[in-house]
Amino acid sequence: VHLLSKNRLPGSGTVEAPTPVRGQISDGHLIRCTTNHILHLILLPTEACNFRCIYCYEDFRFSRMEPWVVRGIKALVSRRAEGLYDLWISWFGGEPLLAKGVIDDVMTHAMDQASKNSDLMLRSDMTTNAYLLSKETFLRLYALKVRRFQITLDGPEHLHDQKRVLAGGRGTFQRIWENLLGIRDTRGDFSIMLRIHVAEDNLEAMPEFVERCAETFGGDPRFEFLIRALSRYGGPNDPNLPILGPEHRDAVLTRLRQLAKDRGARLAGYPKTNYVCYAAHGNSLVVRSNGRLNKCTVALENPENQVGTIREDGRVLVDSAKLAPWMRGLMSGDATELACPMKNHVRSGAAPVTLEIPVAKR
Amino acid sequence: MPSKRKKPKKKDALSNDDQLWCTEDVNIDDEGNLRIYNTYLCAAVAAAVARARAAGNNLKIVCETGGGTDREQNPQCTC
Repeated sequence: VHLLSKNRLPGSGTVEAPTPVRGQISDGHLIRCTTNHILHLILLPTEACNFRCIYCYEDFRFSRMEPWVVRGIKALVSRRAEGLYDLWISWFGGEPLLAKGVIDDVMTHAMDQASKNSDLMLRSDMTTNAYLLSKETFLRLYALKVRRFQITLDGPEHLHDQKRVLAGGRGTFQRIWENLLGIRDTRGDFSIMLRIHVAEDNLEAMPEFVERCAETFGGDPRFEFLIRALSRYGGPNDPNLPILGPEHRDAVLTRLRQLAKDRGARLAGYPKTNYVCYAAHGNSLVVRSNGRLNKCTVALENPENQVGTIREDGRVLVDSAKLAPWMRGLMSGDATELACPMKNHVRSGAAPVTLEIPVAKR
Repeated sequence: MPSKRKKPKKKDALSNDDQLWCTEDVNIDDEGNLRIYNTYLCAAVAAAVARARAAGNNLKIVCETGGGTDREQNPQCTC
């Protein structure tokens, strides 16, 4: 089995297995989650942020990525490049654009490796608040192959600016909107996922806001809309968040999505069936700015999420006892364990993790 | 570079659901490669690969976003 040549198959290799694993995971998902021809690195070039969103779950404890960590990531890419078909680099944070130099450095190196290995496809995305995503910065990222962005809006300006504020307290909507308009007016093949949060306190204003977004960006196929309920992700302000009531949550979201669709917007990923979280993939690692390795980008400080470290020479040290539970869904086929392996995460001999988090990233 | 990890003892992963996973089931070697030691998962992946190959999927095409954007090129893509 050439694809898995780096995986040791037991016995002589003539292993028989019945139709997939016990649950409902497709062959395609199973292969993609286990092949060593794919390497997904989620990089936190800084864990500092210029925003202080009221629902944020991060504690900004580590700032800009240490130079030795950057060297380690580049060395890992070099080590692995030859056997890879798909090098997928996701930029996360903190706010990744506070460390543009790190992004430039790593992506330039990755592009160099891709140019030397014709089989290697390099792709990259970024979750950013877009405050610093000027047209100039966007074009630089585009040149560096960062082509997919997730950007969040919390409703029209007066409501967004109550939730997504700068560290100094000022609003951010106007600048983000201007940056989005600037990006829309550029040419190129990229994808912007507009994440729109719906909560009890912006509910009334949402139909008009969704219409405005759809009219402004909906005609451009490079923009897609992810309309979601505001959620609790483990931040200190969770109890005070105006989360949509369960009695009308689904109806509200369905109505707004339909409205966006009717106005010509492209919706992202609805319904998301058979979703397998990156944290369940055996070929996906989060590299923190201090060199720690995690599986999940939400519960960053949870002890079960500290699976190892990267070294300056590009080698990684992973604790298999901590890794295995993240991949348990591949065995069970359980939809919940695949969609969010952090839910009900239990390691042998460890206390159950009770944190309940939604499926998607922030 | 091959892993220097010691070969774990074999076990029957199907025989005991309570011990579906143990610390020896999977690991990531120092090159970042996934190593699967769980007999059942190994077999399941191997079977998935065999089925995909039999269906004409060269397994080299991976999806751009996991969203099936290569489906036209790759009709077997199941994502």
